[in-house]
Amino acid sequence: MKPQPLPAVPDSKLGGTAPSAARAARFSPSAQSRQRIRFVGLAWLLFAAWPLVAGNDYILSLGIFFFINLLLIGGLNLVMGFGGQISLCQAGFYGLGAYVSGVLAVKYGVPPLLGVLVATAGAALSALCIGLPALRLRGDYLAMATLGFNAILSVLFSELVSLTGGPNGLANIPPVSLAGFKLDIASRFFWLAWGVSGLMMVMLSLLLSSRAGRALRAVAGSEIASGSMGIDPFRSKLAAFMFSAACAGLAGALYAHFNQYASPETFSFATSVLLVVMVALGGWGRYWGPLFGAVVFTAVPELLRKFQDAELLVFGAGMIVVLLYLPTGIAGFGTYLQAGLARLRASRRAS
Amino acid sequence: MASLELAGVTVTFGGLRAVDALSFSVTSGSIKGIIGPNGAGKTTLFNAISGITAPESGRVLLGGRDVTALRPFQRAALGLSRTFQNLQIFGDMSVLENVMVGAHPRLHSGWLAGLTGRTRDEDQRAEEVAFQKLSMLGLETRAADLAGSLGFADAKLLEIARALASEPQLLLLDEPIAGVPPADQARIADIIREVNGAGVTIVLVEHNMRVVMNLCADILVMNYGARLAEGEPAVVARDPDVIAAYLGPEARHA
Repeated sequence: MKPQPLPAVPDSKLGGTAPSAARAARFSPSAQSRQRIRFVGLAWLLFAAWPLVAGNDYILSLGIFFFINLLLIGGLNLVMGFGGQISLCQAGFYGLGAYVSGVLAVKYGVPPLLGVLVATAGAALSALCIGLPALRLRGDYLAMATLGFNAILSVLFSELVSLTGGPNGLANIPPVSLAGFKLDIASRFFWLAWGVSGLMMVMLSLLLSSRAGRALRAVAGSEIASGSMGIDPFRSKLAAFMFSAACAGLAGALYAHFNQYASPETFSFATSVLLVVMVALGGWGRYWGPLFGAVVFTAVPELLRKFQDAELLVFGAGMIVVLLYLPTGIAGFGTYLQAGLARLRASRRAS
Repeated sequence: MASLELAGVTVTFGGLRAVDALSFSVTSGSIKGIIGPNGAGKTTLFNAISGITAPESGRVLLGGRDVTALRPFQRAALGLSRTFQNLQIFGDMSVLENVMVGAHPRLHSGWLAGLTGRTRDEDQRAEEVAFQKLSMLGLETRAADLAGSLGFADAKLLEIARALASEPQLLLLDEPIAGVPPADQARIADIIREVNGAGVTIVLVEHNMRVVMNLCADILVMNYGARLAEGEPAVVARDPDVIAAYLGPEARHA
């Protein structure tokens, strides 16, 4: 191929005019990713003030549940939003993480920190086992297969009474110790959840602007074209499914050691469905979507605690509003407004 | 040396033989045109070559290697790339990112490198390659736009840019000119010639006869999935069977 004159490329070693930083960020996906990571840093600095703002342990623990929910929804958004695959077993992996780490600590005396790592890896491994057959299915069939897997896990959580405590739940799960420092109260555990969820956000941003992330998004766009571009769609989906499960397993283990108790209904397929709703409310395939989804998922049930299960009504209504009027979710609201304003201006100019 | 060779390839859909025991070869470094009436099986043939549709019988060889059993991504790794007649762009990604996806076979980083941020140099290279291809097609001003926002003609150009980003040895172009404004048609023809001049073997399906006759030294005419005629443009254009297939049997006696 004849060498073509290159336009100004950011950080280009080829000379040419240096583009302004703003223009470079607009054009270059990797510069956009670095910008995104700076925003994550800023946001997590702000979140670090939560223990100061929170008046009591209850409010503080809501911050911790926000981070745990962010792990769940952020992982799911990778598979569903960016990868275009329907997964209805995120709560199953969540429970798997909680019970693996919880049972290891309660029944076998395994140090909780080690248990958290085993739970994370175990969830990813189980995603590999279920993904190998299930991810060959598409659309509704994949949804049914993952739903079935969640149902199987739910049965195991309730029926393996000698290990899990059955429907009564698993109690007396010990707190995590970090370098001899017991994270047994909310004001200490907060920092673990804060750090881990921030790390996941950074990793997601890095991934999405890399070859693997582009491949995953391409598979969602057109499986046929992605194959012809040298991408193995199945491997791409499987890797996303495993990462998503690892996030959920980690979230579950953190939940178990913070809550010091786990019971099966938390991890039912109904929770899986709600997590999908949170991905949609936050914004399918939007990097910042899970942040909004996690806020809604954490705050709304607490705000409506008086009205028993009224949050399901709110979530349902929210889902309908999003599907009908705001397909890009809360995270897409800004762009949606911009586009609307631009249309308004254009029509005014035309008239 | 043949860059592409088909030996008795048959593709059936139910009872329909979309490609019927077709054999032909494409000389390395040439441009081969494939023409034929609508429904002649041209796109199905492309799908069989690129691995999207499995042939019922016959063999596909790329550079002398039997790839009949290989999946599409494995064939792409061997230097095959293609465009799609019914546009298969990644609408939720930017125009630039679409072309960066095209460079996938030339890059190497995997999931672990991606998650830990060790892909910066590679991404930079991919961006430069993608920019180069976009400017070749005149799309560089749309680089940051969502690919789904492109009009039909620009999306066609994007398909070509994306296919070129892998620096293929063999390029299948499925109607690259159909639907493109006349002003751009000559430019696409020039680009095809330029890419071919750099040593890329090209197989071209196109309805625009003038363009096909101009670009290709060798043309295969298909009808009902089988070969109707094959050879130099001037010879093919005079072939009574070809004239009959295009204009109806009566034209033969005219």
